[in-house]
Amino acid sequence: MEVPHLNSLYKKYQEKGLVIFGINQEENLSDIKEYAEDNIEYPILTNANKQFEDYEIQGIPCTYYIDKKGKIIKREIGFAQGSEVAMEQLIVELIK
Amino acid sequence: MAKNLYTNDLESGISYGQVLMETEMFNQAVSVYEELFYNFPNQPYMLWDLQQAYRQVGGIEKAIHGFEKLLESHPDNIELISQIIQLYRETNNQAEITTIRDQLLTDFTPQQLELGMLCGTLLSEDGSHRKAQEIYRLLIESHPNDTFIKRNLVQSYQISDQNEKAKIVLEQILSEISEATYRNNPDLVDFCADMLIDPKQFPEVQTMIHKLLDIWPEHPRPMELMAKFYDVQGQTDKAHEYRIMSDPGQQLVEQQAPNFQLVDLDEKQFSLSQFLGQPVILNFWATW
Repeated sequence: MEVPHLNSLYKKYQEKGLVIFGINQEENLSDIKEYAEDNIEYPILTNANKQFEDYEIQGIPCTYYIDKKGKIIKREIGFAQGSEVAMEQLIVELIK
Repeated sequence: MAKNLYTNDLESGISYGQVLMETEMFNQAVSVYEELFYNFPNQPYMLWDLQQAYRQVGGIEKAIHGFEKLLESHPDNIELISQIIQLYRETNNQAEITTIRDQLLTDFTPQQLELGMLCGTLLSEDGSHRKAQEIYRLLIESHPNDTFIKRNLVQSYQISDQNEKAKIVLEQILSEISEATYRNNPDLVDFCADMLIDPKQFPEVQTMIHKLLDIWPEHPRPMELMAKFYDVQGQTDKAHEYRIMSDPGQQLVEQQAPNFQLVDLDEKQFSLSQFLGQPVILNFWATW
């Protein structure tokens, strides 16, 4: 699961400008609130049906990396064990 | 309610536990799952559910405590040990994990496949690759037909930059791949093809990927492999073509990210455009 890793990246790079959003289609907020309060450090945006379409989400998790100019650099479906290092390298690159 | 009526049968026990969870009778769910475990220790499917029930009752500490108590009477239960390790990982308790690992290593004999695989994983995580490789080699000797051990050994060699050794084991796996492997164990072919992707060294890779395409026509994986294959060959156009076939959403890459306005759980409004000048990660997810 990618959430713990996103949490630690957020803690580490938030001050250097990194923004992370969890984006969810859920309409029943109490369920997510409970989960998010215990587990997720970054903001969760909800009711995102349109964004799931705009970003062509066919399977979750799906993660987008966007550079400072607002351009999509990478789209990744799923989370492969062992991809943590590459993920951090990309972030370091994007922050520069 | 006569709960042993349910816990004598694994399936109805698990369904009964789920009903108790849904109705928030967590303490009762704990006793049902614990009883199920005692009745069916060799089919430990209920352990994950039990963990959720423990967490509801008393958080992660309760889960650790509960599992350790079960372990007293079932010290060899690998699935139980794995669960405990997971919980210690979550609480960042590396010291306990090391203690468990050292105990497992003392108990290890090459006949015990599951135990050995767990030892190997724990050693790799710790960076003790040589020691992990030694375990895998011993396991292979006593389980020569198990490809999963070889696969782990290849990965271990690769992580520790022993590429020549990795290649030798890969070639061995490759020689064992038959027509039946494509049908019964396509993941293994996928793994090999991915590792052997350099066509200069392994011209047969292209054939392997094509066969995978036949077997998994709807699956994105063979197309991803094709993309990788063409990348290695320097044919970036073809690589791009396959990458988009494997995941049409890849067309968004290199494009401007669609703007949005959404609220967070505290009703605070965010739009993507307000973060121009900062890198952004969007993680689309769900609780289910």
